[in-house]
Amino acid sequence: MHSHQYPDSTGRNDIMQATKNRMSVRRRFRVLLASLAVVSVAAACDTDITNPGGAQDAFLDSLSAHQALVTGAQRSFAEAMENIGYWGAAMTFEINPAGSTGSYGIESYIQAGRFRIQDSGDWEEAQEARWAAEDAVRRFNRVLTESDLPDLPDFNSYAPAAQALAWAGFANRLLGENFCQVVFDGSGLLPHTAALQRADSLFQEALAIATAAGDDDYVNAAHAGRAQALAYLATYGLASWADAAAQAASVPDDFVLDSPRSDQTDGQFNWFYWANGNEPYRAHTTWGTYWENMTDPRTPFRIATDTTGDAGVAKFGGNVPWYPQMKFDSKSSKINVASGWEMRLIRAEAALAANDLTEAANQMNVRRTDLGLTLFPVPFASLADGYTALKTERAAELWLEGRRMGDVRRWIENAIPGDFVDGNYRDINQDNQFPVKVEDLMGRARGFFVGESEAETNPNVTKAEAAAGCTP
Amino acid sequence: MTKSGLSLRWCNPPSLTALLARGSLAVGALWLGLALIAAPASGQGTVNGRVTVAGSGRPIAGAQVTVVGTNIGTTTGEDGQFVLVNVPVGRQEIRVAQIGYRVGLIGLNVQMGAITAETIELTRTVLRLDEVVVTGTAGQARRREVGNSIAQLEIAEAPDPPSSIETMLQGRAAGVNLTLGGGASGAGGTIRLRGAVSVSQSNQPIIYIDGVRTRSEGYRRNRPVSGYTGRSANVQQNPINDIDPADIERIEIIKGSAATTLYGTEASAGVIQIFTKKGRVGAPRWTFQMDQGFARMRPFGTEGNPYLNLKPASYAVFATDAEATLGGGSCADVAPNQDCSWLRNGYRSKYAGSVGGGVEGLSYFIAGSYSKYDGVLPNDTESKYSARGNFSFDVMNNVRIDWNTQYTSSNVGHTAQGNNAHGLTLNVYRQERNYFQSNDPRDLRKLLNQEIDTDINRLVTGVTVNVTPYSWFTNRYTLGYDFAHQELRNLRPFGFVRAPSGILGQDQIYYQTLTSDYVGNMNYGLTGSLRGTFSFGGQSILTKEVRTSAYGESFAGPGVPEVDDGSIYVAGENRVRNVTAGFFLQNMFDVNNKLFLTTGLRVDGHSAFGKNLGLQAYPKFSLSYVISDESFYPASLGELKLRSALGYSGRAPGTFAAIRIWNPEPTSGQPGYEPGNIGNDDVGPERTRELEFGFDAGLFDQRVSLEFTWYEQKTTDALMDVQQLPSLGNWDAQAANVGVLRNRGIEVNVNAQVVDAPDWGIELGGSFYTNESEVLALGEAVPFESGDGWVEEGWPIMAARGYMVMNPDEIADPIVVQDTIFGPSQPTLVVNPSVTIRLPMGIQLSARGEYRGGYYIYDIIDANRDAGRALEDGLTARQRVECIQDNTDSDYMYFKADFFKLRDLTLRVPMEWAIPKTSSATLSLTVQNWARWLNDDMRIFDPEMGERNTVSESGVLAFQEAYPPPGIFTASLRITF
Repeated sequence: MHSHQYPDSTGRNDIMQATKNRMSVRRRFRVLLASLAVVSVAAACDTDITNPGGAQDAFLDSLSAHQALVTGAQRSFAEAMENIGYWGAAMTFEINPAGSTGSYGIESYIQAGRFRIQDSGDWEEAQEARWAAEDAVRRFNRVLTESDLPDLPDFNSYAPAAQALAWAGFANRLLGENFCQVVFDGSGLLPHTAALQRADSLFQEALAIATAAGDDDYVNAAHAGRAQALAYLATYGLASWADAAAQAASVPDDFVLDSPRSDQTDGQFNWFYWANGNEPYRAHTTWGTYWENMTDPRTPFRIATDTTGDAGVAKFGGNVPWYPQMKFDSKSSKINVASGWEMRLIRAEAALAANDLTEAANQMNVRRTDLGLTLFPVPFASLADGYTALKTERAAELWLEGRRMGDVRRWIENAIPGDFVDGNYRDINQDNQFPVKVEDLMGRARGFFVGESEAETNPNVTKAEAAAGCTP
Repeated sequence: MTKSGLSLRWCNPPSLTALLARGSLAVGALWLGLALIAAPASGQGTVNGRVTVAGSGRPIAGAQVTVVGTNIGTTTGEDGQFVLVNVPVGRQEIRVAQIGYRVGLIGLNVQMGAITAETIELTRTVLRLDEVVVTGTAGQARRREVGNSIAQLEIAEAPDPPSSIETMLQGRAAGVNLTLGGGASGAGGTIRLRGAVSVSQSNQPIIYIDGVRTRSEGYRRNRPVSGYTGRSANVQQNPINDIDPADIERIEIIKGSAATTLYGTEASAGVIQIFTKKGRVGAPRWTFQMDQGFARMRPFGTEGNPYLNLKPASYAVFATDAEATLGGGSCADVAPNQDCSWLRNGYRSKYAGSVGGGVEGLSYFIAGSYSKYDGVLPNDTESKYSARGNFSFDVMNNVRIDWNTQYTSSNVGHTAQGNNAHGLTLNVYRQERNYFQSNDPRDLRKLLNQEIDTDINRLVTGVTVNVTPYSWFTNRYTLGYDFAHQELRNLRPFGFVRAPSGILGQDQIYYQTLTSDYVGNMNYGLTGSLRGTFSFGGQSILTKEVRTSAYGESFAGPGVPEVDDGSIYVAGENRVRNVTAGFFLQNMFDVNNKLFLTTGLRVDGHSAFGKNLGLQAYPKFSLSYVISDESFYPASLGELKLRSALGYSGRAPGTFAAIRIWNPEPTSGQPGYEPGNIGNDDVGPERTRELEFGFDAGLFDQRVSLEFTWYEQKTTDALMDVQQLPSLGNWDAQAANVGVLRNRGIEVNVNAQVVDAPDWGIELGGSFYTNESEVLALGEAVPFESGDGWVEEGWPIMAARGYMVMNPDEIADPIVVQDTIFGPSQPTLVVNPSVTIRLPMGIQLSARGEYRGGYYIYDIIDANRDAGRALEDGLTARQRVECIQDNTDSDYMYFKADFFKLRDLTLRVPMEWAIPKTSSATLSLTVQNWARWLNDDMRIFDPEMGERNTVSESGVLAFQEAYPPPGIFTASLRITF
């Protein structure tokens, strides 16, 4: 028996047969309307959802949130300072590369003395630190002066405002010292010194409010910040060394303002420690730097005899001895932002600028006495000797604090006399494994680029202009 | 002889309806239990017979045989035989259906206690125009009514026993591209349907199982929440692989907006719907399957070092393979695995069983399986338990309830790998330049002392109620729930070589998807030849993900720690909910059962839309014309259906895209806020419009099927992550609907019965797919990188971009052009040839391959490997950028990814002769991914060992220090009683 073939397998014919006996059109329509009503109810589901996490902008106007905004600005500063300090240290031979590249190491182009404009992260983080602190100040001012709420504190004596102003000042100082050019809030390109002038202005405001608020720590911080900014500007003739020294003199020797680190998230780790923590990264070494044969307690390191850096370094011919720094001993080790001892060096540098070789030596010897180091002769035999000592003292005092590149640039660009700590290390190294001089600070980058991301989004900045400002 | 004797006849269960009417749950449960083991009681007659191919007389296995108007049914065995018992006496119609054949109906007289024997011949039809499809349609539709292309994968048609759903999707249909995620245990792949339609949102198609929306994005990786997140195996598991392939009946795939309009705001990347097996009224049908096999790494290195130091474990320690194998040096002491190799033949086994059947008012399919797959690296294991119960109840004449439930429990253990300095592969590949500065396996084996374990427990359950109050009016309501719990444990114990004080990461993650879906269909007639179906429906999908993570380090001493045993420990939490709700209307006109015109509209709201955005509407239009049914169409030309479809669907923005928020970021124990997301009140979904034309043809007396489709997808309002001005706060890049993207290409599926003799035959098949993508506009966004791909106007979507050496072969300094776009990141040409040879005695040999070409891959490993190589004289420009460290940069390392792989080679042998009393028994011997061809640019590694952050990304696949999918050999015995 052969089967019959039915092309329609869905039973539609049956359905249509039933349809022929259908009810009235009106009844169908009623069924349809009822069904659509059911659908409408089902589809009218409320799609409003509030997910936890994050704070809506308006919530931060509350006074209770203001201190958190200051803390956030501090954190942004810490994150910006982290890689700027790390790569800046590699660029200026505070440390030498010992292997790793990428996130935990020192890229080969940095080893070779170049930064890249496409590495926008440092620029972005530095700008975030600046903007977040300045925006906090704007918010505090708006809330405290425009709100109708009763019993609001006075902005001019509001401690969080002083603190935010101080961190805004330090963020501007970070920008000015480490970038070739700067931009503010979508402006065009400005010389890097503009950021230091902006920093000075912010520190002045901070000083006034902190004084009114009785916040002694931030009074000292504002004085120290002003001293840093003015010293830098004075090197370029844009400020007075006397003013810088006066600000520095207001700060006690034992004052320290530091940038906190945290062992909870890698964005907050102390990268000098973590990139060298042997878990497994051994990305940098003190071997081959100026400090290898020094015994200055400000530049501590240890000699690891059981291992080397974590990968080969071509310019050193392979794996290099691993002498990890010991200034920071954990992921949460804080990094100084300003200190009383740095102020002594600013006063010394101001004295040298005034050709006062006695005062310069005395200021430097205060710190060396404190450390038990051999004192410099008083006075220095020459201005060049004084500057050589000053440059070496700053290199030691501010080692791995993200300050060296700014110092190198201002001294080179302004032809400050005296030798500075450079990369010509092999001729004094007792180890003849690598006897050739391999480094010269003069040919290396002295600042980070304004990031490519700024050039791509800011109509007032072109990539070519941004790239042009960083030629050594 | 009748086979009804195989059934147990304990009693004749009462109808479920009756039990429900009495309200007796206990009795109902008993009834259910009895129903599972009991066959239908004595009927009045028995029908047996054989189903064969008209013309050739070849038996047809797996055909569904039912008695019309009853729930009595069965399926044919390998020899085409069937037996129907308890068939009421009198005139009955027997219906026979099998994929690829026209439905057969015969009438016969059944007599009391007698056996009626019949032979039923079915005629081939390659177009299957009257088969029902579900996906992309409102309710059900016959293929002839559908104006878009729809891929349908029938598991019964697959010659090889698929080991996962991904294996089933790979290389079997044009436009369906699966990229494997490497060779690690449990590694999930990325599924792309017609390329990528988004540069910022997921391109993973959404997944339905039996009408229930399920999670389609990958599970979270097993990564510690603090420190470098790559301390992991760096693979992502894909939830689609939780389903046991043995449970699946078919998969329907619609690939673009022309077909996915009714799914609305989240469907622009396509929809995959999986249908699991159902029981059929009749005697219980028991099926058992046992797989045994092994995974073996195939060479992926150079000729001299084919496994890149994974085997033998070190070339430096063991000069030759022979030395290593024979235990030269200290091999015996090291012995991470046999033959002094890091690689092993990973033993694979699977055991599965199922029973399906039913009585009047109830059908059931119950299945369970256990599998254990060892990977090729020492710590790689995967074990999985799976259970399924599918039940259908006819509670009234016009009400049917389907309840489908799946539970899966899996454990995956991993060897640390990928871009992970604590990982085995990175340190093995780099040899003496690794973090041990040693290639000695005695050092490297210390890296195995870590635990990377992932446990997943998942429940997918759904109830579908079908109500047919009138013959012209059907209703379907589905309530579904997909719940998964994932536990991640990532332990480097106290004493671990790279973290001596120990580190422990622990995550508990809950994923939930709740589906509520209603569809109504009303049939109506207008004139004698014109009739129509009006459909309407509403749907809401709620998704929720809750993650609690903890991290501890610095433990006091050895032992198995808990997080808070650490001297430092932190915790984190993420909770995200999203909801989509909408409704649709659709009308289809049917002219003479030949011409079908469908129009529809979907309207959606979504919780991630900006507050200025209202509901979003997505229209659709399609036309299908079965021209071969016209009288003027020559019968000699076979069957031909012309089709065209135009439709819109969307993709919602990210959960927080619309909201301006500051991120809580504490510092040293003090709370703090940093700029986060700047917010966009106008942000809405991407809208993808797809237009496709094509035809389906059955030619040469139904021996050749040919499907052709031209498609063009245009995504407007494409969400771009617009970089914010750094000097205005460095807010995160903000999603904005500013871009325009386009994909277009063709798809061809062809299958030909070259020889179709009774005892042997040859079937050739294949698919051909092209894709050309382009970014048409960026709006206010500047060119940017997304998911490792470059997005720039005028170039392929998420292109490969890096440094190009313009004089690669010259013995000269390299001339380099930076920021050059090499080409696409997605395959632009995919060809899947297949052949099946049918031999006497039912033996079948089949092979299937896949070629992918026209795209690029990013090989970051080469950059790491080459850095620091000694200088050599006479280097070419290309060699100089790869081998001289000061020149080396990973941006040089883009390569053509073109490759061909033999996906499977399978021999199937009927075994009924060896295993008596079975209705079918088949032994399959399969090798998968055993052979490959690579283009000349790709000197080492494998284009399928890349790593993505998530399976939703579609940028350039980047090699990290992973390894490719191994070859797999499987012997599978499947028997049915």
